[in-house]
Amino acid sequence: MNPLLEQFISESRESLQGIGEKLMQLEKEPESSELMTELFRFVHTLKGNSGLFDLPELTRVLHAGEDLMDAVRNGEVAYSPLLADRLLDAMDFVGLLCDEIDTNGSTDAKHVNNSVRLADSLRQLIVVIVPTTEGASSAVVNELPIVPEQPDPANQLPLSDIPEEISMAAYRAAVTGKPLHWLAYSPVEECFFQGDDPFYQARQTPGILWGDITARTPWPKLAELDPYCCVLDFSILSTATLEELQEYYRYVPDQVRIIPVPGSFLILPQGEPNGGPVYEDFVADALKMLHANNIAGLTHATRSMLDVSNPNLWLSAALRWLLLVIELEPDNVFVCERILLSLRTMTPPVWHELAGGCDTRINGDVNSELPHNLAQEESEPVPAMLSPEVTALIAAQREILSLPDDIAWLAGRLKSVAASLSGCLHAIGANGIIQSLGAALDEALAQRASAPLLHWLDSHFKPSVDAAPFLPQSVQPATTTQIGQSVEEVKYGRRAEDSYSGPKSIKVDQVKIDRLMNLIGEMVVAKNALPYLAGRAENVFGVRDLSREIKSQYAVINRIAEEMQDTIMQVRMMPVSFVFQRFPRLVRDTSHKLGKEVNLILEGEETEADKNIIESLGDPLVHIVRNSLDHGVEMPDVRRALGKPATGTIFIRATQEADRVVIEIRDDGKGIDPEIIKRLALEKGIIDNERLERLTDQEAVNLVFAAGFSTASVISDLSGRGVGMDVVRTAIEKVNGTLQLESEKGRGTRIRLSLPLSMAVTNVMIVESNNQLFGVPIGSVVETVRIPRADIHTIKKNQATVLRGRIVPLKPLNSLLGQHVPPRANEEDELAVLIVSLGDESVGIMVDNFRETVEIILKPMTGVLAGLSAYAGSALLGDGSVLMVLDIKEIL
Amino acid sequence: MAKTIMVIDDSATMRLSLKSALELNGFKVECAGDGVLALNQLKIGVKPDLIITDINMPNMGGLEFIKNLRALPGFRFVPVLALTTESKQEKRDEAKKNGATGWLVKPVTGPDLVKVIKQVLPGA
Repeated sequence: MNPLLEQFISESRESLQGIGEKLMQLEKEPESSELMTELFRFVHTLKGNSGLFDLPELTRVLHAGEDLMDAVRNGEVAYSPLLADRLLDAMDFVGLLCDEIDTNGSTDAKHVNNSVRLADSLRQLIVVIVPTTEGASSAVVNELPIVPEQPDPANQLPLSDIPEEISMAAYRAAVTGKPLHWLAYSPVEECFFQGDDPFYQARQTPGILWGDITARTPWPKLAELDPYCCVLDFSILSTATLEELQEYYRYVPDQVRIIPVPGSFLILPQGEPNGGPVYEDFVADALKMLHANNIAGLTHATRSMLDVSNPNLWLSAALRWLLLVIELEPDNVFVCERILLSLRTMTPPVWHELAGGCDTRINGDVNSELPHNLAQEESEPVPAMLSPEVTALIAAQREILSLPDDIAWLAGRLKSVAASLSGCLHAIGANGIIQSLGAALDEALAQRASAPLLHWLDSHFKPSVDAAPFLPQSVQPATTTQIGQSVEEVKYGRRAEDSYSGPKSIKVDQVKIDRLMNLIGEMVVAKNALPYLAGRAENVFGVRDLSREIKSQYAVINRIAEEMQDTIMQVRMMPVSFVFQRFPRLVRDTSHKLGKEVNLILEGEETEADKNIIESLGDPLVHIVRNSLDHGVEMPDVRRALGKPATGTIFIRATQEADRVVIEIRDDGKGIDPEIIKRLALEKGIIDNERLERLTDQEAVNLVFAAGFSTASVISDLSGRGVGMDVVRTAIEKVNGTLQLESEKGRGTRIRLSLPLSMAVTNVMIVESNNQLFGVPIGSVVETVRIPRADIHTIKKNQATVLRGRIVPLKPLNSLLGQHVPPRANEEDELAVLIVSLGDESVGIMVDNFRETVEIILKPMTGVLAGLSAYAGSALLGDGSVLMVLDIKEIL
Repeated sequence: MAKTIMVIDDSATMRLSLKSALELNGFKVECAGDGVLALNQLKIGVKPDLIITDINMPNMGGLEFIKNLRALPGFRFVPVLALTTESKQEKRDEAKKNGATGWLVKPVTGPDLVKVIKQVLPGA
């Protein structure tokens, strides 16, 4: 993935985290404008960043979020927990998208709907409100339905939920002149935080006759359930007056709906719809008596009818209602007639149609069809139509019975199943088969097996397809109080309770890593004290055993320290793609500008190196590539004339070779003409005539790296801004890198950069001179030789020797460092000479003695000492002494 | 000499994006995370030829930064571009009053950015 996107993802995750935290804090201090501003900035930054990429789903949601937060910040919209919820939901969605981008590199188109929905849900809240004293709840007003006085809202009420005796009591009350009100109380989700106790509030409603609690939405999984969030709706039937109710609910007026209910609306007979004789004759007789105003006769007939009917039947309920109406309002012929007529159809009277004065239902065709359930065969011992609850219960018992029998508590299980089933039978009125259930249970207990009960179950309740799944949803009455959320709300599994999958990377301040690096560096050095200590134990104190033990312990510490060092270095590693990713664009833009056709091939982008190395690589590489584009690759027509493909190729490859990263930049352009280089170098005085003669072509082309060299005769727009290839060389050498240029005229150029994987550890060779120790970076050491004093010649006051046929100038380290002490020779009168490479030349440095090479952490000189250019830096040695590391190029 | 541009934005993504876009066009880029950090850099010798700053940032926002910048010796005439998502005219006027040279609305693409920079930065 490209680093910019990666950066975006990682920053977005932080911002999302920040938004979450700020919202939590806002919950505690909703007035804090500082928090609000910070929150706004998070959303604002997220949105701004998302604009850099083509992520419309993301931007849409974030834009809505930003607008909302802007309105909140400016006080146009009050902060509310609902707002927080929506914002969190939206941010969860953003997080989901981020995860998706992280894994797939793009987002799925399927998110469009959710994105639009979430954006809308946020924008809904941006309604400029008039500041009210109610503060938090005022924003909620937009959410809850303010029900306009509909013609008669009572006809939509689920009045049939009310049990018969309560309905009857309410009816009685209504007849005696008491008002009847249906009260729907929908506490806001965060009511608990506002000091409300909705349950208590509902229970204490004045004149309460009956109440019901329903869940607003199907219950979520337990893990997702927020117990501090009220998702219940209360329905209450009360005989209190409107004023009393309004007074009682005065603190939550926006959360209650109060609907007057006419008493007659409650006459809704309930019961088993099937069974019983056909009432046609009775209805005909009763209607006659009613119209003849024979109330006594009607009452009597109804009572006797009721006596012969099963009290659980719907018909019986209707008759009971009829009796009640006759008793309370004997002159309300109209209502009685309706009840009687409804006996024929077995459908509840439709009171609100009557209330509206619309009498169309009363016509002759009421008996044209018999309700089909009346035609049902009577032999069925158990009612075929079971309520979903009973179906579910029975299915659950069946499931329990199908479990393996080999448990110690089987008897208890069987008894419990039987008890549940008998409860079901009672509930459905099938009391007749309870006895057979008891027999089945006894048998099952005797056999210690579930089979007899299962068999009983199968014979009485046919296992049907719809009975099988135990669906709690079918039990939950879910009312749709949520507005504008017709799409089922999707949770993204990001609630705090869900398994927390944290970000896969953490961001650490580079200073900390550097500190860690320094510490492990010191550790590596400190551990080097152990062999020294072992040496002392043996040589000075003469305890060989202890020396051996120290050495073995050293091996352990050494291993751990090295592993630690490796790991810490690994932390600093970055892929070269960080630098490479800018090239496609660079090559494309530049080649267009120049009218050239160039194909760029990148390889080995995943190769890693230390952060510092990668960072120092950027500028030189850009320079080299620009040069190739500018001076290397020819114009298409020139290429064609030369028989090359019109499209040039630039090839960049990164590979790891041992402990170095090698980057090769190759083009198939015109190459570098060594003759031109030689001539120019001579003109600019970089080389003299004598050297010119000896210069190979390969050496000549490398002269482009010399300071002050630029081959382009006309300085082009691109390269030649006063920085030439020497800048590249300097930059590469600064991080201990080397570069090589090979070119074939007419065929192309190849530049090879070789850089250390890490610059943290330097290998130095320790040399001794005038009783002091100095370090020399191993990179510049070619070899160490001992030269007999006789072989040292003095030429023009300078010392030199001949090494393998080449003259090597010799310089004593002491005099280079301003100490006037001659180098010491060993017993055989040989002098220690360190041959170092200086560009193309070799120079011998005369020292007193060679010591071991060590790995050190080179610390650059700081403060006043930084002015001493002779030293590259200092390092700590195992015995705690300081080693000065020489900068060979500087002292020569 | 490559011109130096200082980019001030609290979002690392935005900084990275601007930095790479500008570097592609041959500018040297210095970055800072907010107004305070930017001022600190300027005080220790960073000498940008142009400053691009975000407006809404923690610690010190863009408007305040510009005000402080103009008070700093040697920075009275350095062009400053405000880069933000806000596009309200009143905010623009306020930025102008504080000494901003120009205004860019995020997200800005590389070519657009360079076009504006060329307008305000002589010799770029």
